[in-house]
Amino acid sequence: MEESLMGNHLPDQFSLIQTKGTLDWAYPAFILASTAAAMDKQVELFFTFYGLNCVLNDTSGLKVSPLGNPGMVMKSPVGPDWFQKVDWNRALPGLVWTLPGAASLATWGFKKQMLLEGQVPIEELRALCLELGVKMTACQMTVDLMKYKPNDFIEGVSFAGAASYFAQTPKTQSLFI
Amino acid sequence: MNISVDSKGLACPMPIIKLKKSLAQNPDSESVFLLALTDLGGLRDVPAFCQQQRLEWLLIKETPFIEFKIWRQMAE
Repeated sequence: MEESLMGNHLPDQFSLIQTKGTLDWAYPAFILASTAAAMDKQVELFFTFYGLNCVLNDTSGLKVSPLGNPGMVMKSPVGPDWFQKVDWNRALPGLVWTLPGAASLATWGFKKQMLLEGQVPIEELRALCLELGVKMTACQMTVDLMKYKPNDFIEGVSFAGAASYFAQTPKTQSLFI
Repeated sequence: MNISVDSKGLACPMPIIKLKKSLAQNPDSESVFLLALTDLGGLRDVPAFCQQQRLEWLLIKETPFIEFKIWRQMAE
């Protein structure tokens, strides 16, 4: 504790366990990982359960939905100014998001908004992470559980279990996303 | 040698990533990097990155876009 306060032992590692498989959970993980790698930290991402979605070749499963997600701010990226200011997740009753197509519409809006704000597509961001040396591991147990095959995953992902994760990651930092 | 790094219109973390890539591509100590960005978070993040990476930096301007001059610290 005192050591870290004195700043003598800045952690040179960053690790994160990704259990969520939606687009709004994928972005923060890859943003943090790419930045940490750019700052010469050794970065380890461990994907398990629904988090496996983040490292599949097919990213069409990465969606966002206001359903059961009351914190989500949902504003239209298109339309007149007054229209774009409305937070539709607050303005509309939750029942609306159960309608067919609602998740696709929300996902379309989210992607469009991200690009308008200067974000890069998620595929590009995770490729950058790999290029910067971020190590990605898919949890073998959940890969088997969900009946994925090794070639469902992007190149650069390795497969291992929790013991490997703990063996490779620091005591200092481990966020759970 | 002056090297322009244009990250205008890009959000966090891209300005830092582009700067890092350019640093890696230009390892010589003479290189001076001119980083242009529009992400306001960069006003804090770029100096923080530079400090951590032992780089010198100077904020040249904030409008119409932000521009930093960045160069490597002289070896002691």
